[in-house]
Amino acid sequence: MRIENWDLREQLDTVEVSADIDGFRLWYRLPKSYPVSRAGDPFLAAALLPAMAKGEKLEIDPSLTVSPTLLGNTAVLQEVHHTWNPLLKIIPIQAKTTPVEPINPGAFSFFSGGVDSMFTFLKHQEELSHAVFIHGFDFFLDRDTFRIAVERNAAFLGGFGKTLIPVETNFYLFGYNHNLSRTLTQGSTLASVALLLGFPRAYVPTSLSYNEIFPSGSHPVTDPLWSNEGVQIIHDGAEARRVDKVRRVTDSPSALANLWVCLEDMNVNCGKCAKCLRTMISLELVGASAVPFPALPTPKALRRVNWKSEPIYLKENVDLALHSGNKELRRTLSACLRKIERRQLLKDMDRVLLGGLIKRARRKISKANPEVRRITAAPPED
Amino acid sequence: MRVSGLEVREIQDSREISVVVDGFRLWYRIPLSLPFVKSGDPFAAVALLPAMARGESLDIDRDIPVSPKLVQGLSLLQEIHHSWNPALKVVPVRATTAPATSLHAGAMSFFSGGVDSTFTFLKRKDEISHLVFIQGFDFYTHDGNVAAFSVEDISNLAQLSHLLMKPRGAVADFIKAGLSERTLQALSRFAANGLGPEALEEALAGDFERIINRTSIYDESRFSGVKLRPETRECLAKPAAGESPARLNRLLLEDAFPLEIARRDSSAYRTAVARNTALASNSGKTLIPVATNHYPFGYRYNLSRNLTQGSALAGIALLLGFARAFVPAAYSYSQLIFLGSHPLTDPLWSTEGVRIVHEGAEARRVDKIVRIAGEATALANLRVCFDDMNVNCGHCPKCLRTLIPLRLLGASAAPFPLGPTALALRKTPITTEIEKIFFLENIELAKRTDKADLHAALRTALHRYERRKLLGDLDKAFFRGRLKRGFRRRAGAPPAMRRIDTIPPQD
Repeated sequence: MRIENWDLREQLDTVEVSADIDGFRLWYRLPKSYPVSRAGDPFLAAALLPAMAKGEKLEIDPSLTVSPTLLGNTAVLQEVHHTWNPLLKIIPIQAKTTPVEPINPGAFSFFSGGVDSMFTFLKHQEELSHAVFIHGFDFFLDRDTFRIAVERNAAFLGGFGKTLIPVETNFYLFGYNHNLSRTLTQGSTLASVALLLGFPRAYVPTSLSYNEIFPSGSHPVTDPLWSNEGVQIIHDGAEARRVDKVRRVTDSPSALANLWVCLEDMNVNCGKCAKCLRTMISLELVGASAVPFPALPTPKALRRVNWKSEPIYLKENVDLALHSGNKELRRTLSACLRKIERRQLLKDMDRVLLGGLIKRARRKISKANPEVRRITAAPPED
Repeated sequence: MRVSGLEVREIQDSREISVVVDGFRLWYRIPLSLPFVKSGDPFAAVALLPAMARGESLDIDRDIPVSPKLVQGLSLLQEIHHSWNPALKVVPVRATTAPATSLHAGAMSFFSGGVDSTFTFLKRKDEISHLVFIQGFDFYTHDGNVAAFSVEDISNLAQLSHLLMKPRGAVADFIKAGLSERTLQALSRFAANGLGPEALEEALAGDFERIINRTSIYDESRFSGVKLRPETRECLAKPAAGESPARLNRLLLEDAFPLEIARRDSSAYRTAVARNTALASNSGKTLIPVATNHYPFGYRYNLSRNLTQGSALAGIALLLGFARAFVPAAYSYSQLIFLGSHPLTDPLWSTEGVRIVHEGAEARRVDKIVRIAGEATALANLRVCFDDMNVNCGHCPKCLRTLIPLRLLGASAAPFPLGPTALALRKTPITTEIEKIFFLENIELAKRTDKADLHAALRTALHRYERRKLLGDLDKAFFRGRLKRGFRRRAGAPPAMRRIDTIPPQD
């Protein structure tokens, strides 16, 4: 895999930095007013996992040097990722090195307006000068939707005297071209943007607390390893669980009013998806008013929600319900949790006692096409 | 919790560096020829978790400044440990600060002769100049006059107080009956809230000294449930006329309280030092033996060694001041279990002068054994046993998890007994998820090496564990653990002593 043809192009009020990676033109667009890194670091960060997935040597065009610190760290990053998922192979990297220096003064945090980034923003607001809002990592939207979200977040941050930097990229397509899951590439994508902007400190808000960590692209062990001499990348907020963060956000009315968590819409919280629901429940339990969500569904409706992927957050909310003395929600959520646990038990029984017979039979009966499996941080468990 | 009174003195051929933490003199003995870092760093590292367990602020004496980098690390370490186990509280750390420098440009690695440290030694041979071997973390003994019983003879205060508060068995009953009123009061105070450890230690030491010097405490029925070692039986069989009963009584107490009272035997340590020194010098490296009384220190706060492992090693690395210190990892990145030594936490104990590196997590235990099996000298030196510092017993879980892959690899010169037959292996009890990890690795190796009989035996043992676990999970999910409690009641098993661990108890 080769990184070459680095290019910087100005278009109206934005600047586009791009390079060819194995024929794919990966680009980042950001406001023209910010100087950007001319090193290979951002592209090395973006290309490392794809190269490991292909098991190919990664070559960086000699016209593009990389930081010796980052290059050294990629050896450890490779060890960690390879141990987590042996499908990601350890590969040689060929690059010329030159130490780098910070490019922009200050410190920034990645910011989507969700619970994690809102928490990190409030926690470090004294130190932060900027917040970076990315489009093109999770999904592509029409530009108007993104523009509205940028305006909303810029206004919110302006209230604190901070500046929003909107960054657009086509990383979304690049990662999927290599069949890499977003949970795997999350840390490296954010790192590539941080290395491009070159602020001395970049905060990556985490979604899992220290006692919930599992192999994932953004992880307290790996995130700092994407740093170079000029940019320190900090995995932030793992000391708090999601419910603790929600509580902190409710302390700031403007933060609460600006909270956006929805999986379905970039500008409105739908109130129905799992991410909206887990947040709404915590908000209800801490007694928050004026929340930017529709009314919480009835307990009966909550019991019917598919919580399959939510056991950690469900448990946190059960704890919170217990502490806040809300018996009705505690009963409802405990019942949902028990349902997940029992379903897991049935699966374990099938695996341990029947060698997975029922699972195979169910698959055969349903004639379901095997799903496309993206490469994740750890191999699939079945 | 206060750390104060740094003292340095020479004892025979070693130098002892000590401080008083909460009334306990915590010491480290290092070779006289070695310089050491005279700062608060090592002690701030080892006192952090006890202070968190007690929820008390940590105050380091102004005379011994702490590295600003370490102070920052301590605050992150607190966040992590508190998130893992909320029983460990976030506490203020008060200290004067001064940046640390390194005393040696080279790199050291901790070395016990086990699988992890041997692997790191082989892998980093070119960088490592010194190996550090510790006495007083995994094993603890204490030398001195047999007739005297000192605070240092108590190796696990938390557990000893638990056994004396709720004595089960004739020996504990007998000892409790012989305790003074003052000791009983100190005992109840400590058992209730962990307060006044120093008062309890002193009172217990005084009572034990009185008990061992009176008359023989031996009585056949009293000691019927205690496994006596040969030395004790010999002493019982040939009582020397006119000799004080102290030696016999001490041996009896050591046998009755093997984890709680320190043995008077440092010959095992000397043998181990000699063996590891030979291995080190064979490769042109220097072995540094370090003795400490960290073992009783941690147990004074009822902290499990799983929890204190990282900080105990960090304390020694910071004392010795090598620019780099490797801490061999016990688990690979894909098996990360919340332990005191963890890739996330180990580096946070570093200072400006000493970089602590969690090493070897890219390899699983079985991968490490494959590497060691190819190096005859390292293999011959391999010691992993839970029970003995110098001989691999071949029965304990650690010996088993090592000798099985060695047998699968056909490593003929391995320093292990033959071990159980395939048939016996089927019945090996797996008791923890951690043990299961090693079984899975060995099953994979058995498959790779085409050893069908061992493969089948290991799978049978694993299946039995999984079925039991399933039963436990069913009990938890449907009966809220009633079955388990019922079984415990019927078996009349005493409630186990619960140490403070990295994570809260799971049931």
